[in-house]
Amino acid sequence: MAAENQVVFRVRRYQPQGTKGPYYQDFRVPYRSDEVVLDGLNYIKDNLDPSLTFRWSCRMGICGSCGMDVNGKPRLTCGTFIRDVSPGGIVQVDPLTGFNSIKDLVADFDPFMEHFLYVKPWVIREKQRPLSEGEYTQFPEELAAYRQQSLCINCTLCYAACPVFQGDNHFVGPASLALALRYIRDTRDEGADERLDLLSTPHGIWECTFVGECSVVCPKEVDPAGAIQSLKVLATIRHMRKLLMPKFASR
Amino acid sequence: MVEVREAVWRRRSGWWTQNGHYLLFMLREVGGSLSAVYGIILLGLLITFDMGQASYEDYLAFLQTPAMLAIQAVILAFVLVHAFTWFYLIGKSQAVMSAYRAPEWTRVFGLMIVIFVAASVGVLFVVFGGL
Repeated sequence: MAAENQVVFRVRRYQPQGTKGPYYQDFRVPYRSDEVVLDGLNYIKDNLDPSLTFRWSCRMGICGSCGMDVNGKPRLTCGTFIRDVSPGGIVQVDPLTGFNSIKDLVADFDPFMEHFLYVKPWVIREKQRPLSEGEYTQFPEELAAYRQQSLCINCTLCYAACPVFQGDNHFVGPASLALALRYIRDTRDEGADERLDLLSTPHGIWECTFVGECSVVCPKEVDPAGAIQSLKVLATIRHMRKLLMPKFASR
Repeated sequence: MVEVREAVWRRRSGWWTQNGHYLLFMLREVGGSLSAVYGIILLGLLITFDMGQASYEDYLAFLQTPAMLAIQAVILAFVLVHAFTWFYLIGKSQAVMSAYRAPEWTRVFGLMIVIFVAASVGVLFVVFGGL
């Protein structure tokens, strides 16, 4: 086994039943070069302070549970090697920016869940086909049209990176908007008009100022910033069609 | 019963200085406003042109004072940042160009730069009859 190094984990703590506000606590953690920040947090919980609270599940970048701010940047802690984020011997871990903290590193994702459901993230059909008629089929290129947006794991790193959401948490936000585009591009879906009506609002696509940081931090290369700009174009085309060719307003 | 509260998150002042991308974004926005300011300066040319030759030449002389040259240099720098950061972002949103495959952002960025330089050279030829 490779020799162990030492690093200080500076972890933001918060006890909801306590009398004091959030504070930082330092833990000295041994680590190997192949260990990630989540391993360090689990070391603290197992060996130093079992009361430390944080979310995690799959440990392989699929579940999206372990997103936290590491040295001020939103990251999946299961995919962030300690060796890469501890040049000064200190790793600072905070709950994700932009969300209230329920306890220690656990962020309250209720605002995100509201926005997530707001975009109706399911296939909308004007008339459902009976099961006896079989599934809705697609060609591979039709799947390719929305595959990138469908890779989102709802880790909310993009929300933590979005200064617009940080300034106004009514903004529908990057992941939910990318998801809206995912369904609008899905040839099985017939809810494009309904969704674009919901999104062409001050807290929808037009609140995005295209900072682009959501796409930078996305661990799955979903490119929410690009998705939102595509939605802006779709909404504009639809609006102009309504004005100029009312009979052909729908896509 | 013990009261349970959440730690309320608040954005720190100066947040835009803590990340290079946020800083570039703010510079881009300032560049947009400053390009509007330069529009007003150019509008001054039209107004003084309408007022007569003397007014126009006085205004031109005013624009060539060291203070105004410095202001125009600052505006130019910000407008260039504005233009280049937009080109950079346009390349990231080229999914609008094709439903199935977005071109590489580096290609779009390069194309934008080429168009920008070509248009600038074209304007220089029209205005000054050459470089």
